[in-house]
Amino acid sequence: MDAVRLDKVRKSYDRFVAVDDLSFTIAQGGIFGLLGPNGAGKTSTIRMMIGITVPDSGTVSLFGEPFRRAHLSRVGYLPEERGLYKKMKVLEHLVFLAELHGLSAAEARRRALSWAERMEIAAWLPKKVEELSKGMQQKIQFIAALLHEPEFIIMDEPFGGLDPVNASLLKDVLLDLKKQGRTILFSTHRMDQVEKLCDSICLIDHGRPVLAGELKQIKAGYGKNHVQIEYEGDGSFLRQPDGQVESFNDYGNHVELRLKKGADAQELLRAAAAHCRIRRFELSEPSLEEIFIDVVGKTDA
Amino acid sequence: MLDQRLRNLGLILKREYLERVRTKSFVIMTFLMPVMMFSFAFLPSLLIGRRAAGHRRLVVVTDNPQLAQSFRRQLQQFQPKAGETGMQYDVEISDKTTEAERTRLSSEISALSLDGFLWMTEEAVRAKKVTFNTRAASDFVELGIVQRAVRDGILEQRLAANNIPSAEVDDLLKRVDLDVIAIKGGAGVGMLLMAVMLVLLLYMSVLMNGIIVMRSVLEEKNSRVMEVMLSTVTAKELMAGKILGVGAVGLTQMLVWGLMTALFGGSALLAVGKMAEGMHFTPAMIIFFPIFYVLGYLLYSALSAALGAAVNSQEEAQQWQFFIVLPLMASMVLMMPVFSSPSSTLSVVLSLIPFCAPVLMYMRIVAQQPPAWQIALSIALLIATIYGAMVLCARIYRVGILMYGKRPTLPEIAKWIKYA
Repeated sequence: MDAVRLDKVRKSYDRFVAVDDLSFTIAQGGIFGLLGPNGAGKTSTIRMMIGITVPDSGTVSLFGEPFRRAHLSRVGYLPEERGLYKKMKVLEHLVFLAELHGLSAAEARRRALSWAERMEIAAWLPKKVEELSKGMQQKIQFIAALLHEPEFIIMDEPFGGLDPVNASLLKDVLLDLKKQGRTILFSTHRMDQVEKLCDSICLIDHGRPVLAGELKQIKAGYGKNHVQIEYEGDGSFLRQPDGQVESFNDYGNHVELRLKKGADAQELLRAAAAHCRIRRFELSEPSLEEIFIDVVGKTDA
Repeated sequence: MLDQRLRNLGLILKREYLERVRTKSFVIMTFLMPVMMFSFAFLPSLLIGRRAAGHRRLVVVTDNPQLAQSFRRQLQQFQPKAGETGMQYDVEISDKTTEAERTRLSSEISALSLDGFLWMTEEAVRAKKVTFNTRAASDFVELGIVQRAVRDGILEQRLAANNIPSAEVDDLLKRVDLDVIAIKGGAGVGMLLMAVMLVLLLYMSVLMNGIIVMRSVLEEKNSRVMEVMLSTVTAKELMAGKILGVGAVGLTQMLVWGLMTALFGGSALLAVGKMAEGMHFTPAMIIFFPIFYVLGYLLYSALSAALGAAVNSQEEAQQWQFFIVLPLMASMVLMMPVFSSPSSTLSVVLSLIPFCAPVLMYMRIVAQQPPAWQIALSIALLIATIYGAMVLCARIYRVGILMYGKRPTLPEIAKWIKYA
């Protein structure tokens, strides 16, 4: 059974088409990445999955059935646009949101306390929301999305605005949920995070899917014609007109490049070594970031 | 499905209610408002109607002692009777009509040992130019009393000079009290005051709570809490819960005010004395007040909720708010004409217009019980309009709450309404 199935879903606002004939399925269990540049239609797609908006055409199914509002008690949602009632006390707020998801007040309170302990914010429970920092509020909202133990969890940019310590706290929780067999939809444009967490992805652009499937297969499809080099000194070897390099992305002291067809990596290594100190030289599959730029760049052109 | 909806509605209502009732401004408004209303309505008339008690020392300078005696007797008529409080006048008579006397009396006034002196020589009376030197030149009540006493004093002298018997003269000059008595079922001055107070209360509550709904929608929109809420409840549930929650806060406030009036109002009205005569609650006034409050509030809060959803900031909202409350404000302007002729065709028509009905139909009910069919028709029209407004506004609300940043134009809002 699939957790989510979108079939030829289309949504337009006025003349602007936000989602255009989009179909994909999210298998139960595991982490699914919904990727795309800003304005690609990620949030519009998510809103249709949970009934905030209704598609103009096409169908949305949750847990193997056509969408019904009753499904929502099995879905947790952390929106990208975060917000809470500022004047409410944190614990009250968590209980309120959990009650809306169908929990009793007593059960909601019990779970809120234990989650707050786990997320290291128990001391903040009696405070008003407006007294909390943005990062804290985000953790509160993260907890709010999970209190009713949803089977399907939607995380829209969950790490945005978090410091590394809290980001790793969140990541551990997500991996733990995955281990319990929950399905997680992870929407972002930060490719490095997707690469570490996701099992499969769907990359959309202008409301259409441009790349979908299991992450491993997608990467394998691109072959090992990428080279990662960490170097110190002169990087001019990259720009030799008759060299082996098809294209490259320079990140400062680290560069990722694509070899020309039939090029010899050893040759490149010799050329590079002649100019600078090499600390790492690795033949690899392209990173997701490279694929993203490649795919999105092409469709934009 | 239905009980889940009701449950959601209940939870939203409860949250909204508790959040508002717990604020300081609610407590202050609820307990200070009656005090303020009472002060504005009664204090000025209290202060004017009831004069400070005390003594005033006046001197009459005249070359005709009988005229001075007449003045003193006439002034007696305005003095408080036994058991009343008020100003007591002591009148002394001086026959030195010299400039030196005038200077001496003036200096006595400056020294505060005298309150005023009247220059009433035969010559001055003939010239119809009696002068009154006083410190209290702005006390128009006292000036009125003195003026009447002077006129009546002169009159008494003239009548006596024409050989009219003194008993007849006394009777002619006796002060006549004008007692205004309202016929039963009609509206007296006291009832007018009452009606104005109640209608003002109704108007302010509808207006204020409507604005609270608008602000609260705007706040949810700006804080983006809307996204989270919409992942569990529908826009309709959210809007209905909010309107009912804020409305319940308004009703709570009314209840507190009603109880306070019942507890302290009676004694307060007694204290005002004559002012309170003719003021009483009829059953219709009490029954229809909550009905028209709830209906008026539902209509204006639905419009306000839609407005809050359509705009992005307080400033934007304020420009439009005016148009929404315009009929309500017009009702306030039309209140007086309707009160003075509650059965005129104009009054009947105005009180049937749903946007004015909460204020104007209630005003008519207070002024003079209109025919039952008119009340029923105005309520029916109001309910139909509320239903229509709710349907339209829920559509604007549903689309508007997720539109950030861009300022919608009227054609765009019209398009939102058309979205299925």
